[in-house]
Amino acid sequence: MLPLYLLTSAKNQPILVELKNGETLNGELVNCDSWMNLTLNNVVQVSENGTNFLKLPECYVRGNHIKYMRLPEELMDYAKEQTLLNLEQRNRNQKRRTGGNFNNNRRNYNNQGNRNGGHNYRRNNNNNNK
Amino acid sequence: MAMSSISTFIDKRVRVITTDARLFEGILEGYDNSTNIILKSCIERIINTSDHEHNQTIELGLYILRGGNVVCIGEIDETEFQKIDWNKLKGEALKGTKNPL
Repeated sequence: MLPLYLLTSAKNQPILVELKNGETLNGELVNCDSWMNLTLNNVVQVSENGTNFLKLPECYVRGNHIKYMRLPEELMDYAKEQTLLNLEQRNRNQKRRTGGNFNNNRRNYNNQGNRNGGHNYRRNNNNNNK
Repeated sequence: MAMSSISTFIDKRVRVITTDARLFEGILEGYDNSTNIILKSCIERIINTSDHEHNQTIELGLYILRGGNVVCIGEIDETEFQKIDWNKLKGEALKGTKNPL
């Protein structure tokens, strides 16, 4: 499983983020993108020495600045379940599109008509000269 | 291929050293091509230098480590590791990778 996939399935869940400077952010994940940039809600920011606490209604974190993230333990099973469901759904859709057999070549094209690698104009020219 | 060797560690217990000189252990559940990694049942081990300080293992749960902070990932040999008494082990502190001038 890809780390960013797991992260996207952690949306609306409480997570802990530690930044490179040692600060930690506790909050609910609202959104994330492929750069691991995050938006969090109801954040408690703790300074690197653990003395200063700051409550923020929302915050944005540049992915670059993240050291690690701690996610709810049960999220892994949830995310795995979701991938299986998605896979099943995709298979079902594919079956429906192709009418049950996995052969998309409905009109029986054999797709081997021109085996000249697309260079058929020279042959045509020769024909014109005759 | 640099990334092909990390795939052999998948679903195995690995130990990871990070740039801030910390030591994590967990089951490698996934990775991507910027070496972001997922560690399940992750723990952090703190090993002390002197006798009158206790070593700690901190249970952390599910972790995503960002690739930029990963220094090395190694597979754990369970049979060898069970022989080690982690509470009595002493060791020098690792040096961080950042060298301030």
